[in-house]
Amino acid sequence: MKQIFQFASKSILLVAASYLLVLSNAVSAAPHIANWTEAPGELGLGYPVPLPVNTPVPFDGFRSYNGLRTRHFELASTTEVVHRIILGRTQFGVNINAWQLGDADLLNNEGLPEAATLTNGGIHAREWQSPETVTAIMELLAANENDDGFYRYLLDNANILVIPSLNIDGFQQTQRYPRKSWIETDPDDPLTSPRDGRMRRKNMNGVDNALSTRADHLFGVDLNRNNPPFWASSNRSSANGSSIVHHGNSPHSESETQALAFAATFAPEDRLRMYTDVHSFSQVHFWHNTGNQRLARNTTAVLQLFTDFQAAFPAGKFYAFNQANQQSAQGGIGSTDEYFAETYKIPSWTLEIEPSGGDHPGLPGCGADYGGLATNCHDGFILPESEIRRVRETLAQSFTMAYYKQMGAASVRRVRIFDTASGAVVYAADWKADSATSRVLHQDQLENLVPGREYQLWVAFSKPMRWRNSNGRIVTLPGQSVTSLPVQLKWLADEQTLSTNFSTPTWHNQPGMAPSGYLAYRDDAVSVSFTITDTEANRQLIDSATEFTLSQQTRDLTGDLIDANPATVVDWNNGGWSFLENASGTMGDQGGADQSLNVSISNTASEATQLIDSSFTGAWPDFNQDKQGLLLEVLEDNKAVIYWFTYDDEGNQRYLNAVGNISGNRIVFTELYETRGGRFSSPGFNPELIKAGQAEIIFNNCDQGRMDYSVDSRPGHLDLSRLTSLMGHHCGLPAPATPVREEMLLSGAWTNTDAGNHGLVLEVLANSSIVAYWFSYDDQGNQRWFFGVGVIEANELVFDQMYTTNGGLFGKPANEAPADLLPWGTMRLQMNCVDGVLSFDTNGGTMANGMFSLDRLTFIKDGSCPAN
Amino acid sequence: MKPTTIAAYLLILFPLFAFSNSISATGINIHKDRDSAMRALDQTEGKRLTDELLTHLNQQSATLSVDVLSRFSQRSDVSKIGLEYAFWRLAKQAPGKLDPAVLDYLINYHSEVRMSHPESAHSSLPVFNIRAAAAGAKQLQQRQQDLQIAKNLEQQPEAFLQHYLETVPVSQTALRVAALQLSAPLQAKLLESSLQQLKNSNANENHRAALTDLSAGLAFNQAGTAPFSVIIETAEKRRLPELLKNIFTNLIDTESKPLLYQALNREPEIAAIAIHYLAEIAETDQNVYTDLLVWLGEPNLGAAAALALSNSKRTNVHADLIRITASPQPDAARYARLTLSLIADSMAEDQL
Repeated sequence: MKQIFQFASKSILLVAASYLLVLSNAVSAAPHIANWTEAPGELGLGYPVPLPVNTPVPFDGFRSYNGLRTRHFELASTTEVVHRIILGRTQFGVNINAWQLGDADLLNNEGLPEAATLTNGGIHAREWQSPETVTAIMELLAANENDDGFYRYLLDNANILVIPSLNIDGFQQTQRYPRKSWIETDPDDPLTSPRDGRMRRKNMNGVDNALSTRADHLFGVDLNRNNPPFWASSNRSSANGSSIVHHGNSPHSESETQALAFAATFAPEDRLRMYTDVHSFSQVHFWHNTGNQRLARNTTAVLQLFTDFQAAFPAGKFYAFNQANQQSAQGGIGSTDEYFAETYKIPSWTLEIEPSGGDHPGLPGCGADYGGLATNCHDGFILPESEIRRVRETLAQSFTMAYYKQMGAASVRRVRIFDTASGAVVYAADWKADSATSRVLHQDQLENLVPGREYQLWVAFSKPMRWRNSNGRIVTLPGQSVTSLPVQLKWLADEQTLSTNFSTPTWHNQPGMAPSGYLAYRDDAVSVSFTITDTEANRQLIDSATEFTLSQQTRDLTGDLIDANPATVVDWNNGGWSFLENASGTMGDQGGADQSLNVSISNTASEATQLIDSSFTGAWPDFNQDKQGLLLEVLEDNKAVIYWFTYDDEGNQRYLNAVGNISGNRIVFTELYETRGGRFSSPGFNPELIKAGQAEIIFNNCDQGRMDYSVDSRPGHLDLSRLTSLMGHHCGLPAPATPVREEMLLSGAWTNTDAGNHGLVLEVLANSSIVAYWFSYDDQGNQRWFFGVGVIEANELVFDQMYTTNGGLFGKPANEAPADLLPWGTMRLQMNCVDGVLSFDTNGGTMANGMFSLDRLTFIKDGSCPAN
Repeated sequence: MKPTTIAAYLLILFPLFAFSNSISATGINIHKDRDSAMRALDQTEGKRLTDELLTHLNQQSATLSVDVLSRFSQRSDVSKIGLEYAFWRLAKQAPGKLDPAVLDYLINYHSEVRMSHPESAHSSLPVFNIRAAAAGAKQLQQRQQDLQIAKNLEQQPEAFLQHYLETVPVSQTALRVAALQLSAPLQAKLLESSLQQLKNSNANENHRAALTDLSAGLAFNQAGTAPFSVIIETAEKRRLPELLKNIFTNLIDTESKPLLYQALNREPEIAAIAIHYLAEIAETDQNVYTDLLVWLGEPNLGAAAALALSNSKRTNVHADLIRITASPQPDAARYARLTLSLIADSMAEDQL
């Protein structure tokens, strides 16, 4: 047509007429190819016939298969959270892709294997709503990869597998002929069931692309009848190759159903917790009852959440489903949801996207739901373009709610109690996984709790616990019937409640950890001020009791109770939750009040905790680890810096840096950074700054502390012991008014970026020896560090032996990851308070020898250069 | 939710056996044989009942018509499936024949004769979706009425436009066709009014969509491309994909190209669609091809350019992409690699 107009600019009336042509096809009784039209006619829709557009960008319409595929590739290319898996090939040899949504490690933020979900789209070719919706799930998660909240939680902790288009050959056939279908040819329903072209449902097994070849247009296999265990077990499928429900030659005979089954291995299979096959239309959920009543209840619980959330959108679309007691276990039809329910004992269902099928109140059904003509109710498969954006975007959000629920009950992850007056941490508790099934509790009580004194309690959970509206206010999750999700706290003394005043809980959506930030995700932590009332009754109870317990109960944003016992890791097994305990310790599908934390409460206050001052500057290793540790510098303005010299997972040297805020006996590092890409001897390289995690240090006293961290999404801790003390800084004593020795002012950090990328941390110790830690890179951009102990000689600092290391492993104890100490060379420093010169000689080593200037980067608190 | 509403939803998923009596009584295979049911009913009571109903309805006033249907539904000599088939056929009748009250009755009728849902062993659908058919018929009826009104407004473009905007989408389609039958001066006047309203940013989204479609249709009957330029600038974005397709299909390249370039200034989703059409021009237009390569470096356009280039038949595309992968511009390099991935993926498939 375009060629015609290349010659004649406009054949005006014809063009205009073609733009708005009303086709009024006469109904024919003989088999023929008919047109889907906007105007009244044989297959009149009453709304524009959607045509696929070759674009990757979501719009108010339907994308072509290549447009969708390009979008998937783009998301994989431009984000860190979309990963491709090739599952197999279609009958026509097209790659069937699954996409793994989430971080790449398949470990949750406890370092345990992630739970997985599988969402399949496009099994029936004509149901264009489906690939768009599954793609929208990808788009939603990718767009929110940095939200630090609900979506980031899913990406870090769930292995979300999606297959946007399983029946690609069939899908492409429908898009090849978006306006056409055969009618009067269906062997079972010729009058009302159009076939092939836009109405192709099956795959293309035995079919060519040409719609006009009538002989094969009914062929293909219904992929949702090709699955065990109910394959060909009822009259709901057919051995007739022309039937629209032809089940194929054997269970999983088709490459597409084989690919779908294979997808489960990427969960892997024992981690799979949810399966959905996305279809249209009818606006319902169909689920399969295996006879496992617990699975039935858990399935309907997920569906209830999905449906309620979806119905709360302005369009108010209600997705109906049978409750567990309304549906008996009785055979099946060979569908994929049956296969996944029976094989994996997980909530599995078929989602039929809108329009409705004619039974929903207020909706007539089919295309008439949108003001269409419903000339043939198969127009329900042809969603108007004007609706698809709303449909895909809202359903994608509902899916993420279901994923969240299937990650399991929240549990208490970390607790801190602060003395309000001093700001010191008086109690700290951390649950950390020590195996796939269990966690260990680390508790530190630094001061007794005493009645009449105000404290702040901060509790962090394993997942985001509250929902916020677009204004940032905490609201009930849309669709939930409960109007509030209280946080119920009690102090128990031998199971009797201590009278306590608790303030209104505050959920945190800012970083920073305790006491006023979240731990890992927005709204995963709550804080409350409390005072155990100083009454005679309380005092007597405290004196007589032997055990004091914090009882805490709340629900997550979907209304599920927390796990009462964090010591065991909640998992999924045979249709229900495993190791999910209520307050009585009974395992089931409901949690309860957590009473796992014991705290010392006394009528007598204990000695106050030492607060952090400049004397905490020094080296603080964990002696359980080999040749790694922390350097801490306490700076002015309640700031601190750490230099963490350690290793990666392959035994290469690695270091992390952070600036933190000091509060009482605690330092919070909300952002730990790693640098990559610098050079030892080449100037001009700007190392890349990569956020690696966060950390918190709590000092028990002058010589002991603990650092809890999350690095690379893995939690861990260091038991810190003091190794060095700086000259002129004595724990608990004020800094001297004048330097003990002039060189003590050299303690601090120094840098050079002109000759390469170098950082030097100097510690001038009380015995006048000097410890130097040199952080740099090799000439391939890998991090390297060197260190040595030197002496003060005349006008320079001399390090006769510098060392380096290799072989350690991040977070591993010495017995699992011993590191080798390797001589590296010598170093001399000529320094004054402001700058200096570093010269080195590696004695024939790969880094040769050289010298460069140094500039001051940091001063230790209370230190500065003399005015002259 | 009200109990009655819950009950209605339950009906959607009501187990099949609950309906088996009414259906099996007719001897119809319920799981897929809607068609044979229809054929059987056509031979027996279905056709007779439909004719009988129509006769009764033709003799009654609007109010009494509903009573006729109500009485019919209670007759003991009429099987449920026969009744619902008759109702369904009634709704399928030419819309002019039925009183709106009859259609409303049918729209609110809840089918009791069920068939198994294709995707569930446990759920059912109406064998005859009377509600949808009646709702569709009502739309048709509205369409006919609106056309008649429009005919009376042919000489009054402003009134015609107002009526067009106020009616339902299915009628708007018909009115757009009617607009094209107006005289050339009236069409020009109508287009002018439509564009004027389109430029009014206060118009609501649905009106803007309708104005976009009407303006676009009329613009093809005008000389020059100036109206398209106005539409692209001011249109409701939901309707622009259709317009861009028609611009590309129906105008020569020298006319469509600047308009498609203009569309690049709209929302990213519209720009991406414009790139899709420009890609075809790029096969023979070096400047457009060069622009496609440049757009790889623009995050909002990169994916669309990648898709376009992955389908290019130009012999130099592969070499150009390789060159861009080394670009210091990270986005350009990334989208060039993406394009090569798409090409490689397709080639691997083609080798089978």
